[in-house]
Amino acid sequence: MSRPDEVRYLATQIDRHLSVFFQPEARQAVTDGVRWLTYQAACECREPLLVIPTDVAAPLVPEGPYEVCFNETRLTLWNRLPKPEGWRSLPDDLTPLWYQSDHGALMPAWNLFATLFDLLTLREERDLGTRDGHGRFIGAMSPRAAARLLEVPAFNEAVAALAGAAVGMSQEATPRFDLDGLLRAPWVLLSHDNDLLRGNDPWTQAVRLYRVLEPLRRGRAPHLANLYWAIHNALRPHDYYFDNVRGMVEVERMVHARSTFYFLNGTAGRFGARSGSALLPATLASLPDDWVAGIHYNFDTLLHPENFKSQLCELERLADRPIRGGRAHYLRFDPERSFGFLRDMGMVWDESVGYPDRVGYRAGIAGGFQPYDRANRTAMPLTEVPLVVMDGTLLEQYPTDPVGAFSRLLAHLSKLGGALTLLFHPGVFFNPEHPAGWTIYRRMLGVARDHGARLGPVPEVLSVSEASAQPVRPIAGSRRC
Amino acid sequence: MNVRFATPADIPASNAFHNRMYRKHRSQAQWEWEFDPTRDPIPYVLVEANGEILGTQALIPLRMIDAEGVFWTAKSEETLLDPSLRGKDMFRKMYDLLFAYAQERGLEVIWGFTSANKAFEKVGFQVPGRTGQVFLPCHARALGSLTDQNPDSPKGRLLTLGVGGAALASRLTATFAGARAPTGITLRVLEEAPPEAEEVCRRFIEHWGGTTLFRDAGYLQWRFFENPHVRATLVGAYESDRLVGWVAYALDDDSMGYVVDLMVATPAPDRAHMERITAALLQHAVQALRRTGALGVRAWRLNEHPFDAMLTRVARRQGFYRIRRGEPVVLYYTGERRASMRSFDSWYVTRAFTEGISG
Repeated sequence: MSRPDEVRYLATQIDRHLSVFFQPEARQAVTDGVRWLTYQAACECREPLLVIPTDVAAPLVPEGPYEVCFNETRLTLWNRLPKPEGWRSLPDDLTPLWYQSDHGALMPAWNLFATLFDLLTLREERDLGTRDGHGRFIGAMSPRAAARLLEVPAFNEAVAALAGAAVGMSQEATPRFDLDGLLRAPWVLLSHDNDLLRGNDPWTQAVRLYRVLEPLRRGRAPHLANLYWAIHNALRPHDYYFDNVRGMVEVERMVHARSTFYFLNGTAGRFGARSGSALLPATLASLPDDWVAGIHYNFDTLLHPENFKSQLCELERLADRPIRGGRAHYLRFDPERSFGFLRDMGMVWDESVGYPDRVGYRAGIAGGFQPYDRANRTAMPLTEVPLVVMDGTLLEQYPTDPVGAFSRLLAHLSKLGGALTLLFHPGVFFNPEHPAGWTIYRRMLGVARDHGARLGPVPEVLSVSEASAQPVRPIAGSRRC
Repeated sequence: MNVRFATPADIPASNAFHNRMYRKHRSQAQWEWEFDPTRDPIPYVLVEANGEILGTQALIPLRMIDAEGVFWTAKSEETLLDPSLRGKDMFRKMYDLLFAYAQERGLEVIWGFTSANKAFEKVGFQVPGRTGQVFLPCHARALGSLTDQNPDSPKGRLLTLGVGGAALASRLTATFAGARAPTGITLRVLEEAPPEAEEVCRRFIEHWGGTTLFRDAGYLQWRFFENPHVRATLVGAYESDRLVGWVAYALDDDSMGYVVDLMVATPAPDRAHMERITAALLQHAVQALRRTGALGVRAWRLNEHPFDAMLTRVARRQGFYRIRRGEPVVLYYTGERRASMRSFDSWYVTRAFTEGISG
């Protein structure tokens, strides 16, 4: 049984999403025409309203996925609801999107409330205890992976369907299956994690030397190319790392885009800030004023206030500006505690909720949402913008046509509304040592332009200003720098 | 069959025709940037049958400048005919409207670059030459931009090796060339068109002669900063805080770099000094494009205009190769030919004369 606060929370997230990605008409129609009811009350509704059952539990493993044509694309739905007696299915019984009564009441044919609430609250990773060696819930562990549903932006699809239905109901008492005139252009949100700003740190060089010699163990010739790169970056440490920051900014300006650069400082080490902090002032100074700087939370800052604050304070000092958003190095993230922790650390937005091993929608959404504060039963004053596409994962998952894969995701979103987040590391942007990524970023920016997408950093598009108006609750004894 | 000027209501359909024929994704905003629907009439002619657009031809009015002053010309664009209309003299019919438009509005010459030069010659255009290029390979992968050869075939592998060798040679040449900005010259990335651009353009004609696009601040702002395809980066060269020249460069979707425009004109007619500034601007553009991962850098090299010839000399010293590949230039004079246009060698032409899809 859902609680009123849960219903209020989901309704608020849907409303926020509509306000950013849809025309006002759609938002108004949903506000006016949607009712959140128990399944029984929904079945008994005698008015031509959009009634959404809120008391039907959803299984952890998606059940019975199927596709429905909508707005020149296909929605993928699962967890079908039972059709109320006497209601008809739209568009058809086999693949229904809606059930409609003789009185005109319209009900989603799938468990919209529970499915979306579970996705936004990361239920599957809270309920499943599996974690990898870095303590992460990765894409392969998700029940949606087995069902090939990770690349389905379920939240966006549901809201798009709601918008079409609500506007259609308000005009002609029948749901629309198109969104003509209702959508705003999609966004591609660009960001870069600056894990490595120089190629000559001891860990990177050690890995190269290991790769030179490793084939000898198998009786093969050594990989001398790695030796070349070790020497090259020993002599020219900025090549293909620090220098790429300027190149990426240059390329983004050419397509009228801006982005966020997340900086890794603090503890050194194999999983830490290998490049140290010495290059940060120069890198930050090379960013134009309207590019965004954020914090790439170090490996040892997960749920560790002292380490986090130390890293943040140093970065703010080096940047000479407040830092309000970030992403976790290695995407280390605790679905139970990280949101509250980041809020307490003063973050306004976060982009950590993504898979290191899969392209996909970890929270089922392409865009931003406020995490659910279970203790206080309300939305948190933090905007989470999940990572969808990471360069290395994209290249590994779609080696023959990474740009095509990106284009397909964006094409789908352009029919639904939303924001696709793209992380491209400077060391992958243009690096002959790792040539698979060369030219890919520029091509993806061109694809985004061809789809009519707008390109920018998170703060430009999402309601982070709204979140920043909420009071930040400092933890006891902590202070901002 | 109806041949007429387009109206703003025709924009979606004519853009859709273009996209369908070329399999492209040009947006309506890009169409409007290029063809300016506020003109009346829009110099964009349609062939229409049963409400369907089957052909287009447009003019883009642009100002040029020579020693006599600023004057109007037009660029020929959007030449496209459905195959069903070929052989029906539709091209002439479209140009009949546009020639009349050009005459009425004092557009002294219509110019363009097209492989369909035969059709243009039939309606009265001349073909004084072809575009050419200078090309700097940055990496063996630049092969893809030079030829359709499959890089994995035996011949492709050999060519890749050759391009890679050429790239290395270019790098070494550029290293020894070393083109620092002369003392007193600073280079700055510009965020908007400089108001002094017109002054530089006028001085350019005084020093180098001939004729070229009139590059005032309004033109530069439209052509580069507002370009919805690719916004070229404009770097200005300043001498004692006075603008003396610029270079515009861009990276296309396939990571090919372009030097889109380059112009230098100092207050004093010191060609050696201007050559050094040119070298510094070109080197800056190349270094910036290398940082973006450019597979190569291309620029136009058309004729014997003194600045073009000097720029080519500078480019070769920095590792560029001359490539005699390009498209025919087509020209149509609507009346008396100006002195500056008696020879095509008097035209200073850069990629700024192109549509702007690559910057």
